Amino acid sequence: MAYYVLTLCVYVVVATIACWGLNLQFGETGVLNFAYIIFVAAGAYTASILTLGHPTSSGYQQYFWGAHLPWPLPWLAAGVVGGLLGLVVGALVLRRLRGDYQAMVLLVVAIMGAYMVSAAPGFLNGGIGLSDIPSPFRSMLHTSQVGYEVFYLGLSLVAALIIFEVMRRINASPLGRVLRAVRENEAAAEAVGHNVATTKLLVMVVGGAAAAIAGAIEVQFISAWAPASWTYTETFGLFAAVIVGGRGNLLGVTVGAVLVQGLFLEGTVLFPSIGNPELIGAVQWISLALLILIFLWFRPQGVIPERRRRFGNLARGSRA
Amino acid sequence: MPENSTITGETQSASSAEPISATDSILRVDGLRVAFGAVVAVDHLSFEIQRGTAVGLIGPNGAGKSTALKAIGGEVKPTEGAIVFDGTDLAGHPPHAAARHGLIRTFQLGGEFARLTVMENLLVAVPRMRGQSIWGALAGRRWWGAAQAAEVRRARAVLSRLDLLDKEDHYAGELSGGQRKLVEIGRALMARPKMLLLDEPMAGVNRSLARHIEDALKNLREEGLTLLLVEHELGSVERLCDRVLVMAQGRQIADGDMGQLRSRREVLDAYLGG
Repeated sequence: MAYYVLTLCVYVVVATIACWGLNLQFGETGVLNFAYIIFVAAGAYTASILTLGHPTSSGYQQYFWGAHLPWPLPWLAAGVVGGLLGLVVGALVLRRLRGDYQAMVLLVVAIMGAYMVSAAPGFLNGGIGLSDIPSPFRSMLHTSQVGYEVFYLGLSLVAALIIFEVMRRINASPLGRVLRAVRENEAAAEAVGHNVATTKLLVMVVGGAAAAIAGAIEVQFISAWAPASWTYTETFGLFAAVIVGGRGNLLGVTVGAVLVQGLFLEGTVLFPSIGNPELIGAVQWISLALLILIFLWFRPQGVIPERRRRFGNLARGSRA
Repeated sequence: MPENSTITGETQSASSAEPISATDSILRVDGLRVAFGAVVAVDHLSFEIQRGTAVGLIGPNGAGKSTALKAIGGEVKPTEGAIVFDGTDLAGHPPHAAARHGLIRTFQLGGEFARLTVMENLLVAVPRMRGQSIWGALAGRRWWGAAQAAEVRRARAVLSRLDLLDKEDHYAGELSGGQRKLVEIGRALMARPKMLLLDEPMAGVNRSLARHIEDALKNLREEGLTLLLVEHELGSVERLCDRVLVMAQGRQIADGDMGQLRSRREVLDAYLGG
């Protein structure tokens, strides 16, 4: 039971970090990044090849390059790669397209990404994916499986706290206000001097970095990563968490990640199978889709809505 | 509100308002043409606006007034022509570039940030505010807090002038149409504009609020802000504007004050209807 709970906790931390990044893009800025899962995957693959070591011709898995880097470098590198990917994807998609068209192209990018990795076995071991990915300090800590999971949960929480503080500072700042203005009315934001394309590019970079770090944390915990782990439908699980929790509210998004990703998706994995073995998975996704519809219809602001910013006596010197 | 505050909510000593010369041109539109395929919305429009004056742009529906305003503000790319604003040719520049030069546009409909409070609507427009960059944001409240407090005070002065001070904490989407238009004007003032492009600021607004908007614009004009106004309410145009341009079918057909325009046959035919 302890093993299951700890595993669930790590998954929830990973999902929460990913949801914070998606909240920055979608919840605060209004960017419908349906390719979000490829940023998680980019981080997972980066951390994998940076810990697996150099590939050998006789090895059972093939990848284009590798190294043995100590923690936390694989996580940091994953963040850099996620940010750079955000820059490239954002530059391609955000400057020339608007609104719904951006969303469609991003969805296509996610589908293309998974097919491209599957179709090139020498790049990241194709559809089989990478396995035996080392976990940080595993060989140095002489502890039980449960003990190591407690340790790993601690590492994940440290990363989560740092990312939360970054997101909180952006959310509370004048930049956060500009992001929300872009979400509400792009033409009006442009009309008062804000470059909407550059602003969206910024959140693609920062949100992409957060997603990639989430992927790195996950892959070093589960020790394997393959295209089946990052199908485009996974993105909708993250969107569901942001919508249910309350887009634009970091606390709400955290609650959404716990409810949707923790209890709803991961929490039902260990249910006893009834009838068709694929039934539970199908019911999960159908229920998730219904959950999104119900919230969009009846409570679009989510469980904990975005808070109204009041300035009170700020101008007279006290904190708002 | 401080007694000596200016149109942008700043005190006189801190104001960046420039001295106005009667011959000082702030905007020159030269041969502006906007075509969407075979449809020519604006056809070789040319005019000049002096700093500190208010100019009306009128004409029947489909005359090309709003398209001309969008082209000047950067929202629509001109097919041909020059738009020289304060010495810089802005033709083809994006709207944010025009805004950064001090040319601020308001919208005919839905120009507010609906789920931002009135105060936030105003603060968004503050140019180059501390904390608007990623590094400024990450530096935290100690870096941008004092600058924000100063801008909140300035925004309250602007809201006070527009009789919106009690709406500070309301979401802009909760206000009436006329109040939203006032919020847009307030937001434009927070951007420290040199000139406002106003697209039908009184459209769809009840008579009392329309009068309030008109008074606010009149005060701005009297304090030296340059205005270019597209408006169908001709009484307001007459009271507000020093000069009026008339467009029909994409072309400029007349230029003068309302008294002169009333006697022009082509204007009567195209718009005033006798």
